[in-house]
Amino acid sequence: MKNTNTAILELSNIGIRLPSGADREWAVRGVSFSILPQQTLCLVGESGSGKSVIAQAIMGLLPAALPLKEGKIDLLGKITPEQRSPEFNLLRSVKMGMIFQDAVASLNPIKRVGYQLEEILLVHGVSRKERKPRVLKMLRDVLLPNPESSYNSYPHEMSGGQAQRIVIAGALLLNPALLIADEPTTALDVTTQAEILELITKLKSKFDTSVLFITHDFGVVSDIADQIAVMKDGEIVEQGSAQDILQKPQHEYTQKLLKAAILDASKEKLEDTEEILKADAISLTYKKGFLFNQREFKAVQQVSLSLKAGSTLAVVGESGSGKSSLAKCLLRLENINEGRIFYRGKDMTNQKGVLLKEFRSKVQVVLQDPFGALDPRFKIIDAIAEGPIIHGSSREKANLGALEMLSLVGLTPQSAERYPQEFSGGQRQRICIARALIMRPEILIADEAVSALDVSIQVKILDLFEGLQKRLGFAMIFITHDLRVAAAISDSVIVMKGGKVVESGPTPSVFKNPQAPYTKMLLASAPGSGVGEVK
Amino acid sequence: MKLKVRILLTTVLAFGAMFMSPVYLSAKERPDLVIAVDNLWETMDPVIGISTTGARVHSNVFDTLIRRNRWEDPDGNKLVPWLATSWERTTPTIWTFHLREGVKFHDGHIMDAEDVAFSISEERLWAKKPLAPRGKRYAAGIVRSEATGPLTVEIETATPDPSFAYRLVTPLGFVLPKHYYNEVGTNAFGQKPIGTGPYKIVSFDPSAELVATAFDDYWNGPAPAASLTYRIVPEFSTRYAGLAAGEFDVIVSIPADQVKSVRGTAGIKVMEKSIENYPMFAFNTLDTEETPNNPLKDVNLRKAMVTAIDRDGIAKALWGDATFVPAPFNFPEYGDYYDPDRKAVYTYDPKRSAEFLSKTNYNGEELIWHITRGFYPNYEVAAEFMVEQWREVGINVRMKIVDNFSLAYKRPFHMLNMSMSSEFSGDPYRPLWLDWGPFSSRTNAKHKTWVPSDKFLELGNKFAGAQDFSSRKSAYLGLVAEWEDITPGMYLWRNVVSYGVRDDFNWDPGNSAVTIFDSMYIK
Amino acid sequence: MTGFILSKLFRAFITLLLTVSLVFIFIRFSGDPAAAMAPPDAPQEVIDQYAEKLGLDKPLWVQYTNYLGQIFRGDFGYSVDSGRSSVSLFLDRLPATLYLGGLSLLIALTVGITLGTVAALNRGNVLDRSVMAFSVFAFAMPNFLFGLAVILIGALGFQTYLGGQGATLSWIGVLPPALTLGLASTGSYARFSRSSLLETINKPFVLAAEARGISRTRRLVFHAMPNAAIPLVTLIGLSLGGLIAGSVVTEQVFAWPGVGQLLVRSVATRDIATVQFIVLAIAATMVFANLLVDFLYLIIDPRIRAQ
Repeated sequence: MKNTNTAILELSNIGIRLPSGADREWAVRGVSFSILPQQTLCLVGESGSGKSVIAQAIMGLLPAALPLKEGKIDLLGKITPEQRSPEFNLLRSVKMGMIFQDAVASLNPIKRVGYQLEEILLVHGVSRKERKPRVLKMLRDVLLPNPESSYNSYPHEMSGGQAQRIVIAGALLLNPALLIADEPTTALDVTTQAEILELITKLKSKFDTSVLFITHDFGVVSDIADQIAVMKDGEIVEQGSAQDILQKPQHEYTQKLLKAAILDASKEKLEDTEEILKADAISLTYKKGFLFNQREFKAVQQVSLSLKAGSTLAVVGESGSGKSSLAKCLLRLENINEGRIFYRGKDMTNQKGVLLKEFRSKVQVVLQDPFGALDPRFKIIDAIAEGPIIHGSSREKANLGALEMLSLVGLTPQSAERYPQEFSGGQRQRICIARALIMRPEILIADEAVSALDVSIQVKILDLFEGLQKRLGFAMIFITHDLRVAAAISDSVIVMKGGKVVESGPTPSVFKNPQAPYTKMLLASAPGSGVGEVK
Repeated sequence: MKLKVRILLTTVLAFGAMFMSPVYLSAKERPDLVIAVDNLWETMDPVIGISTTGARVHSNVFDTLIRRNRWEDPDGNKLVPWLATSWERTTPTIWTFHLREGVKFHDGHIMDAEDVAFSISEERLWAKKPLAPRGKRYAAGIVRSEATGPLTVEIETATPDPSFAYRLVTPLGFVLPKHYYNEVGTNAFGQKPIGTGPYKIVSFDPSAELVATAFDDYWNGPAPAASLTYRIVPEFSTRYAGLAAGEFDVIVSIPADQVKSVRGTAGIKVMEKSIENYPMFAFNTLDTEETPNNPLKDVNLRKAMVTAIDRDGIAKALWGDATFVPAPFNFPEYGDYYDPDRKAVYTYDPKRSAEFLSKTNYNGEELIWHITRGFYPNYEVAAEFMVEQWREVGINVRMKIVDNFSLAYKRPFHMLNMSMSSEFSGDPYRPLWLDWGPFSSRTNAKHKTWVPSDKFLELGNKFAGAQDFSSRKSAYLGLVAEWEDITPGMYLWRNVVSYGVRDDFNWDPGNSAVTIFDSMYIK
Repeated sequence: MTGFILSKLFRAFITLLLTVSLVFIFIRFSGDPAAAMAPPDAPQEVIDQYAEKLGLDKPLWVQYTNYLGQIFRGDFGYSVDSGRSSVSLFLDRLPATLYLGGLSLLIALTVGITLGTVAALNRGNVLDRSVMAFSVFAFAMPNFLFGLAVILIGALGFQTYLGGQGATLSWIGVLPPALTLGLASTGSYARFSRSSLLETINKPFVLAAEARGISRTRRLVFHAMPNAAIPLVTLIGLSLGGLIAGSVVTEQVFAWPGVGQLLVRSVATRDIATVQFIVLAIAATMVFANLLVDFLYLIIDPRIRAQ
């Protein structure tokens, strides 16, 4: 059926308008590319580049506020119908399927998975008798270990990876010619991500399907792409074969993105300094429920660590590994059940009152979500100066300090009088860092502090952390799921799984010569082995 | 557009007409009357249910031994033989009543002397734990009630009571069927009572309605209405709406400030009746723990307060011609004892008030006046005027409005609202002696307000013992004079009840809150 | 799961015990009930007799333990004057209240949800704005005011009495109070279902369903609406819980012989046993409605079941 010479999908000079008042006139403009049979085209770009809008346009899902003003989209040689028109339902699932970043959220939470998959067959005219067998077969094809029980499950009962398999199964049920995957692995842990990428590659050849893969991560791109198109601010800055672009990126932006995807554990070695924070076999158990309904959850088990002044310790682990709970223990936000915490040799485990307050002023934290961390009613200067004022500084002095901090984190003094909503994610994270550092902490705990940021911004913030650490001399505990981030910033690393430490040691040795099987698997799963070598 | 609206209106009107209750289908048929009341007492035992909300029903279901004639004289000064055809005073303390023959209860049972003796018996009314405790005051002094013949009953009192017959027009005089009462017991009787009255109860739901139909074997001829339905409609506006829409024939309790607008509604007439009940307040004349150094111990302050108030002006402003301010205990319902020319000793006179005040040590101390919210119509409004008038002469009164009487009785207070009923003695015996004398709650309850003077007691005993009209009247005048000299309280006006009635329904209850729909009252 | 149910039941029990105790305390500390019950100028003797009948002559703690003991034996006391048990008084009046409350809830649900859905699907246009304007009016309009207006307009404008017909519960008689009572909740159901549906329509899974080729109607009926209905369960639970308490004012205005009227008269006549039982019944309805909502969530929302 599928002709190898004609494109499955062809976009010609697409232009999609943004509503008036947006920061630019066009969401995307002048975008052209085509996908040939059995090919994977990776559309790469950071947030706001317009890559998801293109996926929506192809699926006919553009909202009225984003009209397709220019160009045309051909699917299997035919121009696609008007956006959001009912005719599109004849193409969706039949000729093309789509999967989204958050697979659980893209399933109806109160309907069983089986029902939702059969519904696709139902609305496309498959007879009742055929439906269930076809769904079960498909569930086997996406390698779900127990198709019958998955069929009867509700979305929330599945892990992110399982849900993504379900959604993929749904998208491929009617064997469409094109699969559109919009950041399908971004929310997943590395090991799961590797499995899903492998699955997509496998199914692509099994079902003879072309793939439009949308991602921000060049690591992922290098694993799966046949063709690559790099987008920035609504335009394609570079496109070509995967080989060409990965080997010889032409555009400066492409080069930058590629660099960020490299796992580089070559930070220079630090002199030996005194130990500033020490955790000795600490454990944390949460109790939930009331009376007849109590459950226990062991979040942290027997974790020991040591942090030296001026150094950076990375805590690496997948979701649920206990790394954030560990941070709460170290911040004394949770009372640990076992073990001891020492700060400069003083036992802080059960400390209260003035000493605890003093300890807390010496340990500051920067969190993942720079949007939630700032009160929208506070001006930036007030947000930053708040800490010193609480700890007894005068307003004038605190404001002076805040201005100094703003310039340290690379923001103009004019920013001081503005409100958080006027800043981008990266800028807000800078503000959060300024707010933490104005307390002159000896220890900075960064909990997934760059995870929500685009890679190019990530690089900048990591540089900022490093530069500030050199100038101000604080020690850092950097909690992250991202091996590249850990490699780039830390002197030593601990790897966590299920609340326990599975491996620890100096960063270069752990990354180059991992001992624990889990660490090995993590490193093997990390996408982008084709981009650069572990140095 | 206009056409559409008209069609809509016509439809709605036609629809509405379907729901209208067909009262008075023809003039000759007996009507089914619907009376919208604010409430019904939860039992229809005529003594346990002593209250306005019960009394509106009782006389239609039960008969008393003796009755007052309000159909010719609104104040009902004449006693009419009813279930008792005649009576005489056999000895100073024994009364003999001769009963009407062939009176049937609603179950067909013939009334006899046993029923009467039971109705006024010790076990029912004046034992230590009587079946119907509320009747105690009416039965006070009775020591024996006995059937001495098939239709003769003797009642003996502890002390001679020349006006005893008047008590039998009150709930005390209602005749209950002994056999049925004993068969079903007190509680069940209250839910489905039978009497000898013109209507028999067919259904009673204390929180919805009571339906009674004409009792065809009524001894005094058939009742003028085919049925009476007392329907509980708590909200006045709803009662009014039902009357205006023709659903109700009679509604009770029109708020004083609404009378005018109801009166202005087509097809409705309003009757305002002053009744035998007098709202007043008592001065607390005692030093108590809660009110030590009570300035009201000084009679001059009390008199200063009474003379400071323009009661006539206030009553006129609030009630128009519906009521009047009585001279103390000079009530029109007392026939020959009533003297239209007798005036109160202490009336509105600011100069005199100032003189009285100057004789006191009163220094502007705050006097607290306990008033029960919404209990007596217009009382709070009047109180506000009065507080203002007192302020003008330099007396500092603060109204404290409370939710119920038990709160009003809680000390400290300097003045306490209350009312006095004047029924059952035919002369001022009850309001003057029973309500202020040594057995009254004024003198012996926890919330007592005064101790009668020796002279008051002496004069009172003389009044109580006087057996003939002229000695009784002069004793009464002497006692009133002493009361006024002490001034332990102040009467405001004769209480007013109001009815809204369909224009074409010819019924007049007289000066009473008791509604009777028998052939005497429906014309 | 069993733990969840047991802990819910235990909480319900504690709530009811607290209610019972508070009612006991409030009645005894808002003036002497016996004095309030006897006629205003009753002699002390009569007041004392009432106190004895009610057991008020005993020390407070004895009264309290007796009271609790009786409740556990299912004895909720008697109305002193009529000798009828408070439970039978309550049960006599319950059908009227359930009839009125049930019908008004039905009206509120059907009209409210329909309006809310229509408004959500026509977001921003005239239809939406008029529905929202109506719902604000309906919500803000006090029950008694609207009820009185209805009654007076019926009587003076159309010569038709719209109040209750005494003990008979006719469907014509129930309509005006049910519409009045339902009006306010119609407003809140309209607003609530509108916002819930709008929120659900914009959820990713609805867009994902569209991407699977599922038609607009089917997305609405099979995906958006069932999910949007989940938060409504809480609101319905509140309405059910307030079924008895909520109709007090409307019953008064329309002379509808329900529990609300019984409560008002019992408070007025200081019928302690009946007041206590009705308040307990109101609290119990509330508690059981809450339990019902909790269990209903277990059934309709698989996510809650999992916890």
